[in-house]
Order: sequence, then C-alpha cells, then structure tokens
Amino acid sequence: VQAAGLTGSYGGVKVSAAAHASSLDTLHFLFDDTAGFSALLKMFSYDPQTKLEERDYAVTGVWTLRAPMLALSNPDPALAFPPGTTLRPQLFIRNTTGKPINAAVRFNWRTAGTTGAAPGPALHLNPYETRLVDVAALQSAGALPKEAAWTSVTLTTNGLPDEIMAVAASYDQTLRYGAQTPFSDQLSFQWEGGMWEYDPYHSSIITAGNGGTKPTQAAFTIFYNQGTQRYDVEQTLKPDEQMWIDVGQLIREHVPDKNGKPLPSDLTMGSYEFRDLTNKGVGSLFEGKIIYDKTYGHVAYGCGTCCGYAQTVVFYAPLGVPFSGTAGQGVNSYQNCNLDWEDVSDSFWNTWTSANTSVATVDYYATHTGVATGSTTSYASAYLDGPNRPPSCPRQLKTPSGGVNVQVPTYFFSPSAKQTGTPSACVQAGYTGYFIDVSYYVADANSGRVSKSGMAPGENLGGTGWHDAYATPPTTKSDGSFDDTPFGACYGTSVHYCEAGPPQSFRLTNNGTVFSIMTNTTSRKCTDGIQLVIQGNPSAQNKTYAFGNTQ
Amino acid sequence: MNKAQRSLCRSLVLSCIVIGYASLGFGQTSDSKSSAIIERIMTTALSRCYSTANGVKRITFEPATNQEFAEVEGLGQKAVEPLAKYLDLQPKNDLTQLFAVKFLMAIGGSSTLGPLKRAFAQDQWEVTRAAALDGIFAVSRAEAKPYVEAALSDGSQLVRRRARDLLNLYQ
Repeated sequence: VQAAGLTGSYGGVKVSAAAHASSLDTLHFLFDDTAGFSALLKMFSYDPQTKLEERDYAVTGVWTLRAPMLALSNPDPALAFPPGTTLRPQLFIRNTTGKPINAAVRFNWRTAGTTGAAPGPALHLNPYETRLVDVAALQSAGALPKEAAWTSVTLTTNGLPDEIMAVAASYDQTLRYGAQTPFSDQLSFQWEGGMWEYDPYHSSIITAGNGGTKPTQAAFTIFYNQGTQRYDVEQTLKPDEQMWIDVGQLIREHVPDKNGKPLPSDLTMGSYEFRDLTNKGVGSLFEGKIIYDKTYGHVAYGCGTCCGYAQTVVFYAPLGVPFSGTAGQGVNSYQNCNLDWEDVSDSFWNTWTSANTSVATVDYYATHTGVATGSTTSYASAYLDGPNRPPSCPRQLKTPSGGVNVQVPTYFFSPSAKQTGTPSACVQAGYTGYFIDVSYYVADANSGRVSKSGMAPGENLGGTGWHDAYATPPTTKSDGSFDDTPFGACYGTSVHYCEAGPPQSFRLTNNGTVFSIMTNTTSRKCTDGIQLVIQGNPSAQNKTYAFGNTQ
Repeated sequence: MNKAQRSLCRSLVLSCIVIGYASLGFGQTSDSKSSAIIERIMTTALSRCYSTANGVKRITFEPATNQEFAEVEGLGQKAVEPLAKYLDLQPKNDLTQLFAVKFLMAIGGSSTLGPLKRAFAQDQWEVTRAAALDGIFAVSRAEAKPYVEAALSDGSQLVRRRARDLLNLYQ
C-alpha cells in the first residue's frame, strides 16, 4: 500500500486469475502489534456466471445480503465486556464492478426486551468504490435506539450477485473488544451448526431470522450428549424477524423446551440445527452464531452449513393412471445433510404439465387423470436449494419428469395366499374346514400394476349377482392391492369331504366406471384342505393354490 | 334354509335382543326401525353362509350384496349402534362380527371408531380383527397409528401382515 502510494485508510482487494480461478484460495488478515489486535477479513468468491434467480432465495427480484449479528455501540451485557466499553459498529460496502451500483441498507435492532426496524442510508456506489457506513453515528443520531445492543443489517442492491461485497465490524477504540459479522445472501430450509460452548469463561448466542416475504415457522434444536439428546424450540417469525437463543441463559435458568424438558445444568457444549417448517424446497432462514470469551473479550463468529437437495425423482416411474380415473404423483429429493430422500412435492405444485393431454391431464397438485389409453410423459420444474457449492447452496432448477401410462384395469393377479385361522363357527361338532386369505393386485393389459387406491373390486359367485364390497379392504390400497378373505368352507362331517366351490368372476369399479376383469376362479373346498385355481389371466399370471388334502 | 340354520339365525337375533342392549356410549342415535332393518340384513346375510350340500352341512363366508350395503349406508349413523351390539354377542359367531365390521366400514366416519376398536379386541376372530384394523385406518390414520404399531407384534399372522401393509402407507 505504501509502495504504491495509496491513500486512505480502507479499500478493497481483488485476487484474480486468467484461468482456473477456482483453484485459488486466499486468506486475508490484518493486525496491530501495539493494540495486540488481529482479525481475519472474509474474502468472497465471485462467479460471473451466477444468475440472480440462483441467489434470490426469497424471490424478491433483487439480490439481498444480511449480516445477522452486528453488535451496536452499547454492547450486550451478556458479552461481559468491561463496564463503559463502547463499540464502533461500521459497515464496509464495496462495488466490485466498473459500473455504478445502487444499494440500500436497513436494520432490525434488538434491545433486552424489544425489537424494531429502521431504515438505513441509500447508497450510490461509484465504480470500484468502497463505502464506509458509520452505524455508530447513525445510532448516536437516533436512527437506531441508543439502548439497542444488536442489529441485523440487510443490504439490497440492483446489482447482480457478488457485484457488491460487504463486511460489518464492531470494535472498541482499543481494538481489544468487539467482533465482525459477515454478510451472506444464503437462505436455507435447514442449517446444521457446529459447536457452541457454555462454561464460566465462555458463552454462545445463536440466531436465525426469516429472510422471506411471508411468516414462517422456525424450529431450533440443540443436540447434546454426543447427539443422543435434544432440546427443541419453535417460533413463528415474521419477515426480517429473528429468534435469539442465548444458550447460557437457557442452561442457567432451566428454561424448558417445547416438550417441557430443560437443558442439564452441567451442560458445556453441543451442536445445533435450524429448520424452516413452512418452506421446504427453498427455505427462508438465515442464521448466525457467536461464541464469546469472557476472559479476553474475544467474540468469534461462526456459521452453520446450509443444506440442499441433490437428485430429484418422481414417486412413480412410470405412473399408472386408470382410464377415466386419477392417480397422484410426487417428487422426492436427496437431502445432503440428512443423507436421505425427502418429499418435496409441494415445491413443484402448479408446475406440472402433460406432454399429451389427450392421453392424460395433470392438475395443480400433480393429480393425473387418464383421458385415453396410452402413454405420455409429465413434467414439473421448480427451484430447490442446491448442494453443489458447499458451504453455499445456490438454488437449482430441478425438472423431474416421468412416464404416465393410462391403464385399463384388466385382470387380477395374486402373489400369495395364506391359510387363516378356522372360524369358531366351524368348530361345532363335526365342522371342519379350511379358509385362506388370497392377496390380489390389479393389472392392466400390458401386465403393468395399476397402483391406485379407492378402486372397488366386485365378485359374482355362481351367477348370484355382484358384490362390490366383498374385498378386504373394500377398496384397493394405494398399491392397488386387496385381499379376498376368508375364502373357504366348513362341513358338518367328521370324514374327508370335498365339493366344488361356485365359480367366481370379477369386476372393478373406479370413479363410477365399471371395468370387466378377465380373471375368474374355480375352487375345491374340503373339510381338511382347499384348492383355488386363478385363471383367465395371461398364462404367467394364472395360479393354483392348494392347501391341505384336496383329493 | 334348513331347520338347523333357521334355528341358528333365530338364536343370533335373539342373542342380540337379550344381550346386546347395554349402552355402548358411542353417542349415535338409532331407532327401533333402524335396529329392525339391521337385524333383517344381518340375518339374511348370515343365512347365505349356511347351507346343505349332498346332505352335508356347509358354512362358508358369502359376502353381503350391493343392496345390503346400500341399505346400511342409507341408514348411516342410525346403523352404528345396532351393528355395534353384534360385536359383543356371546358366544361369538365369528361371521356375525365380520359382517358387522364390514357394514361399519361401509358407513365410515368417526362414530364407527369406537365399535371398530371393540372389533379389534383380542376376543374377536383374527379375520374380523384384521378388517377392523383396516376400518380404523380408513377413518383416521392418526387414531389407527397406535393400533397398527401394536398389531405388528400381534399373535395372529394375518393381523401382523395387515399391520405391516398399513404401516407402509404412513411413509
């Protein structure tokens, strides 16, 4: 700086490379030997390919950055700074581009008992300009209450992501007491936090805020005892509102969680997690944490790790839809924190389309309706928080799709049958008999399973009429299955006796449409055995069950 | 229907009348006309289960007809209490309780939860209990959850299998 003859006391730094910039890493720190002060200065990566929609998590149309925990002039007594310590909170906002950029600052301050919002200055940043915003002066002038100890800072800009970079710092004159808080644009549906501490020399404050435009329900969990136990809190957060967790206070004051359980009084460390219970695919929570050292006045800022989604897959591929009936589709996505698949169907509502609406249509909730026999594909698209650039999780456009087969229920196939207990009605003198529980699934003409609930199988025994509620359960389960139970007979004789059962034919009713089913059965029911022959199906799906003595 | 079957059916109806009128506390309303209709339907449905072939008495489960289900559904809540009384018949004729459960399932709604839970009790036939579990699940998945979980370790293989099927539907 001296050799170049640069003047001034602050500015910006850029490290760039003509190629392979992502292979570079940087570290920037400053120090003052006399004061015994040093600080790491956060460096930001810049990706000229980034699109606003990937980083506009709240879908406001403007890029927004937040610093969640800026300590104001009169420090929070919880930080245990010496009495009379006064901090000087300030923001450094840099335009990294060769064009002018506008930015606006707003504050959400917090005292011991109240919170409030205050506008900040509107900034017009010249090319490459770094602007200092003296928050201490704003507070002295009454823009922020003098008794407010903390504020979050929200910075909005008409620039693209990363064209503005900002840091916030708050130190006293000696540089001994104070902290930085970084700006980030990241909102997420889930944050996994590292360690917090609480002992006679340390304590921790953790916060999460709603960066969205609608109220959201936020869940905060402390994990302790090697993750085997948890402490749960939930709070509804209005836009820009924060939940403020003083871990030491929770422990000291035995504050019960939502399940009535307090933290152990000897607890000294653990981890934490935030979850957005309202917004799943693209969350609206930002977060921050400080751990402070009461002995030396050091306040260290820590960030959680945002969670995101990797692959997305549809529930059913292909989706079987009965002709003139309906079937629901959904989307699962692999979550990189829980390492598990999660249902993110609601993120894709109102985005579904059918490639051929003369075969199948699809509505807001991905309910498909079979219009004509045939196959088509349905598509959905939506942004989800992505996992591809940890620790940031830029939104990614996901486009799940899957085949749709409009099916005509054609036959019933049976994977298994099991003997059931003999009814006590058959245990009268001389009455013996075999009963079985026959499991069936519905299939179409192409031997595809018709996986749909609510279809009513009907049977006709020996031409005596249709019984459309004979099955157990009376209508199919979501996988299209049902049972015929019990199937058998008892006889009032003590000797081996058999007779042919009545022929059994089937039909299926779905949404008022009755489908002929080509399956039929014959049976032989004996005192000590039963035989059931399932026929009329494609040959591989015909079956004969025999239990006991059916000779 | 032969003499023995008629006798059985009469005894079933009589058992209802004599044993089944303790208050069940389910809060449904019924009337004597509804009770009479249910008794007729139950008697008719049961009578089809008893026949004679080649001089050998036969008991088999013949499902209720569409007309019988429609009549019960038409009675709606008024049918719940009369049907519930069949669940406590002593001695039990298991096909009777199974018919009662199937009719209760056709009615559906929260008022059938009490009787269906009664039908899931250990003194019922396992086929009746498996059907009752389905019925509870159909009325309320949340109400059914503890029953489904308990049924996973039930003594009946049939009930365990039904519980596993239903548990999968929670995921």
